[in-house]
Amino acid sequence: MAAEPDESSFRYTGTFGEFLGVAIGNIVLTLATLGIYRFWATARERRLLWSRSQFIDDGLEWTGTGRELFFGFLIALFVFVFPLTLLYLVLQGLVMRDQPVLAGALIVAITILLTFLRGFANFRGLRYRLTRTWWHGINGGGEGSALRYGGETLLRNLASWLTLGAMLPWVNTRLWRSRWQRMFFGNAAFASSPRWKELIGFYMLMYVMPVLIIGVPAFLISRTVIGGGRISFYDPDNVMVAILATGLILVFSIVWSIIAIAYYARYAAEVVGSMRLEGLAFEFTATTANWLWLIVSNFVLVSAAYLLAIIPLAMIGALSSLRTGFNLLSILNHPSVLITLLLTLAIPVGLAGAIARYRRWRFYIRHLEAGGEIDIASLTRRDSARMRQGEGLLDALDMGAI
Amino acid sequence: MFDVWHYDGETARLYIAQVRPLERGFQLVVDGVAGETIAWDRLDPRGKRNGAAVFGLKDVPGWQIGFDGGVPAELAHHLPKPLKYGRGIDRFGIVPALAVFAAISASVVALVLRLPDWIAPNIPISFEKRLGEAMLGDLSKNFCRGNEGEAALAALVRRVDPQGDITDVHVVRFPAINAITLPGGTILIFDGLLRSAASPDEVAGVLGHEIGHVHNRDVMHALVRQAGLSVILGGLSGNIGGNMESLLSASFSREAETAADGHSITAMARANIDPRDTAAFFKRLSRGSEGRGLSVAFLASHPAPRERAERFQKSAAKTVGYAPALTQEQWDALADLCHNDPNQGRRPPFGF
Repeated sequence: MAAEPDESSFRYTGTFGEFLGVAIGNIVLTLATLGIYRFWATARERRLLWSRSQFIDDGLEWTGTGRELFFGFLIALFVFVFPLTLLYLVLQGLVMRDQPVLAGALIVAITILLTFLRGFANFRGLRYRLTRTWWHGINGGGEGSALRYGGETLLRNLASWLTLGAMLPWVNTRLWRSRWQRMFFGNAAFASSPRWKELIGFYMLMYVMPVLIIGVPAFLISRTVIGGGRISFYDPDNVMVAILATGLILVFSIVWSIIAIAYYARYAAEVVGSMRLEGLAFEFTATTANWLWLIVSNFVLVSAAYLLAIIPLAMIGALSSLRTGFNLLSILNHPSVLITLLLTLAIPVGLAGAIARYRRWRFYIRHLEAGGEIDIASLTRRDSARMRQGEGLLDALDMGAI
Repeated sequence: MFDVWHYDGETARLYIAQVRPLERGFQLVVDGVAGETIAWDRLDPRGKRNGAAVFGLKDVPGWQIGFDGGVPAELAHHLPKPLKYGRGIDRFGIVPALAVFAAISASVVALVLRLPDWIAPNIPISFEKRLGEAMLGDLSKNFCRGNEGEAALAALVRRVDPQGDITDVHVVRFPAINAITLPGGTILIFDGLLRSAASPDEVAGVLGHEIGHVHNRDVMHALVRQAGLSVILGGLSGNIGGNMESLLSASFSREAETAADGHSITAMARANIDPRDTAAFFKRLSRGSEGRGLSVAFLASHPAPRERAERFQKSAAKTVGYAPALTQEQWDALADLCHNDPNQGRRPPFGF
């Protein structure tokens, strides 16, 4: 079966309305169960998004369940969150007891452990998602050790730290390759070898920028303020310098953010563009402007929801501090009233988060392309042990976004 | 016979097939060949995809059939309905399920909020003391020492707490205008409070308040409550759970602070110390906190200083005849305790 060159092989066929229906039900149930339903909510949301995502002639199917995610979360809680919490408590104790050397050593140890776990969770999460994703009655999967991948993540990041982050494109592209080389769909293996050399030039631009951001205003200030022997901010000259420096920092920060997004757009295009699945070649077409719009609009959406939640609280606060005859505070002192109020206010925030996820998913599907041919008859299932637990570790590390 | 499309889960090939219904199940006819009989209850509803009603088999991953245009009316009673919210919720219906969940959640929260009242009194004092020592850590090096000042402090404590339950009160070199109670009943008065206080009676009022916390074991209550809340609200993602937790804690904290003020007022009346000085102290504090625009009172851990000042003011039973909490010499020694400490040059620990 060939992917038509003139029309996209990936399409989203669903409507926003049906997603909104699912999202509202999910939020209400999640709040009513104090968050326990969220695992089932995730499964429900993905079932919808996957089934509306068409590849060539049929939609995808998500078969992961809320129960799996819930048990994955419990496992992660015991093997990961509890021990780490304990380590943080020990760290606090060391700081309080004035033990900078031991505290520093512990911080290094925790960082190493977290980096390793991040790799481990990335691998497990990707494999979990692939095994639960079906198309034409065939699912994906992965083989190899997540522990080993965690170790590789740690070693490559060590190299990156030693060069103060200058090698990040190398780290990320190599890890991408090593992760995807172990993944497959049915009997077809994924292959990917993104080129870090394609990215390093642009990355260096982004890498050098902060020196300018901090360096130039600092230089200006040091020349005028300290060089002149006065450090009075009441001096009009110095006020001007301060305004100028703040303005420069602001402008540079915005420019830097845009460059960072431009780098990320190139990175995404490079890593996805290098992906092969037998005769299929993938492509990711989002431009910097596309990414910028997605990120900014989602940010505005979520911020607006927070504002919507904060306004009623602020009004109550204002009324109570105006000392009106009616004392609102005494009602708020009642826990059940307080909880009900807060849960109601949580709805817009939860909804904005869901819509942001929907928009991101549609963005991925819109910009993902596949060309070449796939022989349906020779794409067969592959036996591999099904993973039982969900992406608990991934969830706990908050890397829920693909 | 009903037309379906079909995947067998072995290859990605799409088959056009027919469902032939039988007594207890159906046969799938692929390319004119009928397969084994499949019981209806082995089917697993997968919802709709591209307008087709899709079913899988519970025990054969990848196997699927799809009825384009939806389930035929003749088969509807055989085929299981797709799940909407989850097996349990669908069985009861969304509204009853929501009501049950809300009721359970409300009971759990109510239980956890009551938990400190049952647990805190049963925690051994020795454990609480060790906890307090752990929290104190290196801070004890910053205690201000001096015979006369410490004797004056002890006298003040005896005056406010004549039963002698409170033994562990220290002055710490720290510029905050505050005093705190640690688990195990250790009270720390910050040097900044002594410096800003106009009379020993003001310090007596604050001390009486902290002694109230020790008597009510408020610190332990707060710790147990916080632990409980963080467990049950931890399920709500990120900010929502955390914000709820801090707002609830603040609400209980205001209650405890009000009770501790009550304890202080009673203790001062018994010791014949003028409460109006403490009122003046809170009035000064309120002057500092106002003018910052809107004060969002339900975010605060303490009641508004102005209300506290009024309460102390009103508790004064007479206008004359109170005895000062300390003599002038004792007060001078206490107020200058840190200033006179020969060790005063020590740097503050990490982060303070």
